[in-house]
Amino acid sequence: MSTLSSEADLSTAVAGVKLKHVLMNASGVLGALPEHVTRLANYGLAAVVTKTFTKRPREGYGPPIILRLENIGFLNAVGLANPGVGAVPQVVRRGKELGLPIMVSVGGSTVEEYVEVASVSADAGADLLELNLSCPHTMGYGLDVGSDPSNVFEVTKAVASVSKVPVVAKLGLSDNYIKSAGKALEAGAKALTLINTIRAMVIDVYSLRPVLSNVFGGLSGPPLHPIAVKVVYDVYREFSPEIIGVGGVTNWVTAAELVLAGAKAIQVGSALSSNDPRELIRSILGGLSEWVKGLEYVRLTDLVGLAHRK
Amino acid sequence: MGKSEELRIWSGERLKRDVSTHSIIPARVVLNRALSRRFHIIKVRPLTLIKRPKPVQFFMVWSPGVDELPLSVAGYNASGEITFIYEIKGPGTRRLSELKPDSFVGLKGPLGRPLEVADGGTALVVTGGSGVAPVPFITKHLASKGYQLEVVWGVKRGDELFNLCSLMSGFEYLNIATEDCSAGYCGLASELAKSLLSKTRYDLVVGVGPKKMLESLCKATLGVKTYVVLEAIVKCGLGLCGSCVLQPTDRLLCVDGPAFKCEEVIEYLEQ
Repeated sequence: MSTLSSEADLSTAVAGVKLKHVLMNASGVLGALPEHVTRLANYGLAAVVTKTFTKRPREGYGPPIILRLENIGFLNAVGLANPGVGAVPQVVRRGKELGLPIMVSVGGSTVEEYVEVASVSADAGADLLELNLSCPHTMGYGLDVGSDPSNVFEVTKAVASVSKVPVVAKLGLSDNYIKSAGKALEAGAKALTLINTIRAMVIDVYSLRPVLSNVFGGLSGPPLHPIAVKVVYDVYREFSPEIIGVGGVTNWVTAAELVLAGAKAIQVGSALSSNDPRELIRSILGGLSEWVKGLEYVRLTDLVGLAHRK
Repeated sequence: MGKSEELRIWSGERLKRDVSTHSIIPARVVLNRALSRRFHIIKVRPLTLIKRPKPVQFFMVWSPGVDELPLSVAGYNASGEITFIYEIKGPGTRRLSELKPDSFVGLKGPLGRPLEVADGGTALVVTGGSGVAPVPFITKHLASKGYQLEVVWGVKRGDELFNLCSLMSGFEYLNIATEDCSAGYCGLASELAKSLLSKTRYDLVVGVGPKKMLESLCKATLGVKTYVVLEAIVKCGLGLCGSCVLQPTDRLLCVDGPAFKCEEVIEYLEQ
């Protein structure tokens, strides 16, 4: 199975949407304004994922909203800051102008809000909808939905049944993640994004106070990675769905692990805070290509879920 | 815990390790007082080693439990103390102004790209409004690089002025402009700068201040190497949240700036 071409085939597809390679940004990194989309496109990503849009604009929390931890992870509580659903069309349009598939992250505090943001996004020409069912730090907007499998079913069903655009459900770590994943698929999700950040907090021992203005936030970056690998692995073993893997991807190895666990596309979040995000993306892709060739495969997607082989 | 152990913790010995620029670095307030009706100065001593800040870099300064503010460095000394000049604009800066010596703040940084300039020559630094904050650090750096320096400092009212010279290297020539005509040139900093630019050829121009001032400076210095140091709402300081995007460009102040060449941000300044 050796290949003569110098680069391995890193292309993939999510819910029928073709991608030139497997990397996209994780929702929450830029993605709220057209200028953000341009910047993400310049990083060399194969698709752009927007910030989570809600029906009404949300200012989000005041700073501190993010900090880097001693264990090289990140902790954030941005509070779903976004300009509201009215800004979706111009963001989607910029993605189209740049020739990139765009996945709109959809949030809501009620089923109706999810449906409304989803339908505006679909009408605007979004290629995919990612339901944010797992924001860990904003009450009524996420994890409290996503940790209850029946809520996951209800929201996903409501959106998927009216949406002409494929729906991807983004879930986080909860006691019920396998059940929630199953419910999302049963309700019509064509793919799953696994996983969101995990609730965590930091206390400053000098001023004796929690640091984040929201007190607690979502843990991301390298400490999240092995947990993400486990969740992707478990869900793939159970349902073999299409999975977008996300959590602590900082290099080709961490991306490759998620592929072997069952992910056919990968999101990069915290690592985009690197000094040179464009070079970071290039090096992850370069490493993946070498890896695929070194194993004498042709396509990266041939390696999806291979860690499950007995 | 023994006394010596305790002392080591508070002097930072125990905390000397690779501290990221985005972790919260504890720092003690050394002094904090008003400079004039408008401006205040705060000096803090980090408890851990930090990366040496360079001009025009900034720190996110956390007033515990209240707010976190982007403040550009006004000075840095051999004992590692960092000085910031700020004005009270909201609850966060008000709380900051109330902090007594020995209380704690948290620092993230230094953030942003340092201003990189070639050696020597003549330079004009033009500042107005809260743009004065990084000027002492910028001028000291330029003086150390062999620049002959002229500074234009504009304020609305004479009672905003303070002894800026005492914070700079001592080799600058300072021109004051006041809009209430109570001191120095009567009018805007940008107008005074224009008249200087029409008489003298400078190798380098640096502007720090309101957008309008910077736009007019960029237009008056075509053909001269000109940097403008911008302000924007900085929330994460990491290039992730996008709140400091300089629309309609896709540049982010916190990671690409805060200093830019005029041509990089002219569309933003014109808006």
